[in-house]
Amino acid sequence: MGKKNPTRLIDAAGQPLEPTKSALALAPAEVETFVKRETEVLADEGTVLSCEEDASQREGVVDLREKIVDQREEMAGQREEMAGQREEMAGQREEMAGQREKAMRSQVGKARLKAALIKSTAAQLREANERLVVATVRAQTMADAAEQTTVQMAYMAEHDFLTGLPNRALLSDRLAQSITLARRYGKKVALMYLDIDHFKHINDSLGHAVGDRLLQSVAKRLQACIRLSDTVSRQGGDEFVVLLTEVEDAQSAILSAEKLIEAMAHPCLVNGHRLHATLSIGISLYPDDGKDAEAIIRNADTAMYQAKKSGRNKYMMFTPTMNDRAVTRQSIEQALHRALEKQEFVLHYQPKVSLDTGTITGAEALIRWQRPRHRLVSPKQFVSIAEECGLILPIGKWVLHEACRQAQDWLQAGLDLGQIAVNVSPMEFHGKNFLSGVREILNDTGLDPRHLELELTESGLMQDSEQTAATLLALKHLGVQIAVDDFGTGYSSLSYLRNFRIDTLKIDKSFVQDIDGDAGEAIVRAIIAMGMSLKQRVVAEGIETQHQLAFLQSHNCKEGQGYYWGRPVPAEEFATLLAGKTFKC
Amino acid sequence: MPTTDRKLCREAIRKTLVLRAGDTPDASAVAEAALGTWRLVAIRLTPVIGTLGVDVLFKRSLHLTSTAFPWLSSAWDHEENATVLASLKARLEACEKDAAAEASYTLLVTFTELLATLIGESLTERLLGPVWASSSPVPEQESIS
Repeated sequence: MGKKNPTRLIDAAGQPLEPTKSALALAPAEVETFVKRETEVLADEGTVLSCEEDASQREGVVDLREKIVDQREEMAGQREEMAGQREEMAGQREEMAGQREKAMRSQVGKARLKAALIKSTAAQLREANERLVVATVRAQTMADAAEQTTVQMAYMAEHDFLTGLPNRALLSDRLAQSITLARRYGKKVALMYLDIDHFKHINDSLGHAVGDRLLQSVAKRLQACIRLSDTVSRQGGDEFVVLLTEVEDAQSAILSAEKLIEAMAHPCLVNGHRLHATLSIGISLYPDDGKDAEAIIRNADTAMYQAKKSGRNKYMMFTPTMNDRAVTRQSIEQALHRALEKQEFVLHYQPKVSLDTGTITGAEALIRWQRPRHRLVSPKQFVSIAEECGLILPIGKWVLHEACRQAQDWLQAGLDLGQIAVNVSPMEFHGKNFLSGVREILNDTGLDPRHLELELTESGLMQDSEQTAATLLALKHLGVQIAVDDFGTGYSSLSYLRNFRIDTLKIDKSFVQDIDGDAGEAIVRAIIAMGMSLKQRVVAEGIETQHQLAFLQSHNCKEGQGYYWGRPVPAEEFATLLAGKTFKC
Repeated sequence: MPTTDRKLCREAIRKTLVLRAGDTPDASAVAEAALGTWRLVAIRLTPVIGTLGVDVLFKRSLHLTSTAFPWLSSAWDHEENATVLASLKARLEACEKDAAAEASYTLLVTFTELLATLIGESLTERLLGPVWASSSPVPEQESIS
């Protein structure tokens, strides 16, 4: 064996064999593997081809080459087939991938749908929960409000709205309990009935707002004076009740009453006003003054009434004799109702006399009560009761009508009356129908208003000054005269003389009767001088002696009335007086 | 809520507030702790009972708490929630540290126990348990109800 030629593939012409086109289609790695394998086959057979070999050998080589080419072609065919198979497989893979993607898309869609469903359900649940929570909380709030209202109503049922003190109902309950305990343990219970003196006047003159604040202030002071176990109650208006449980004796109650009066010694500051409120207190004890709550309260009230009658700003213990007076008062009230129905009232007339000439310048109409089986009752004995129970309004209206009617009769009979004077109580004057009532009576009787003079007290004029001024002005426009009765005994303020159009000042009889003393003279002189300077008529009331008359004449007082010329007389007698009598002056 | 559970819950609330307020808290820190805790509570509850539900429960709790702490009293019902929280914070900051802490504690206890009466103890514990356990600050982007 000679030297081996390098491994080269050559064709039949001895040219290097070029790889076929299809062979290129193979991957280079595959070609290299194929060539290597063929070269090794040839080397193993000891067949080394070279250009120096003989022709037979060449032919063998050519055959071999052809064989190789055939094999190559066969292999190329196989390769193509394999490539086709690979393409087919790739197509299948793509198809499978598409199917997988489709399946995945379907799953994602389902998952999304499920998530959306869950989300929607959660939202619905949340909304339902939200509504439930809101409704429950609101129901609780409403229940709270209802409960609060119930508690508040229960509180209001037992307490006074203005002062917050226990009211009459709660007091009754506590008093009943206190009496039960006192009965069991042999103790006493004290009950004090209180009333603020002149509260109505404060209320009327300064307004209800001030009055209410005063009541609140008084309530606080009263509460500060008692033990926690005791009760201060407001009964209504300006009336309070203090319940002292378990007192040893009357002296304990008296000490408490003194403490309450002392507590009111300092003025109450209300809306810039310094108000001096004083108390009238009536005290009753269980079991001494009554065996039950009703009797205890009633008797304390009776005692308070007596304290007021006795000058106010004081306390009084109940005594059985007070009940007699209370019974009498109740009896009078009932009788007054009957008197009005049965026309048991009559008017008597007292002349007003000119101190210069002795002639009658007018008459004051004065009411009397012809009570069956009684002597003629003077107004002192029933007017205050009529005022308290409100009967003063119909009684006053009757007086005004009867006086006007009588005056008109006298005038029509040719008697020179001058003016008929009628007393008007503050309650009447401030009543809402007063003015219209006067007009109606004047129309009804036909009396010329210039012949009518209305007598008002100072305290009556001082109430509700704005309304008073309006009413007085309206009366003036009617032609009615206005006189101030009991001048000098009521309010010390003289501003109303400037503000109101007053025609006549009537000097109170207490000053006239004091003329004998220096102070009395001075006051009468001052009033006369003031009346003259204000261009007002001055009438001296209650003249009884020659000395008084002379004094008044010497100080230029023009008119007077009093027992000096006689007592008030019935209409018939007064007509006789008018007919011609001139009094001694 | 059984007494033991209630006691544990209350202790957890107190502990949470103490942790959030820090070592040396003043009224301002106490207020911040209370509001921070409240924000976590609101975040936990809003998905379940809604914003409005959380809102009315909180105002109701505030109302009930104000009976013991009158300085918390106000007409909360008509206020926006943000206004209520701002006002609550200002009031807590304005008072003494101990009073602020006690009021915050009472408010959260009242809220939790009120919630339990509505949705049950188990769910309350499940929803708010993580709040009491956690003292991590509320992320800023999280909103309150």
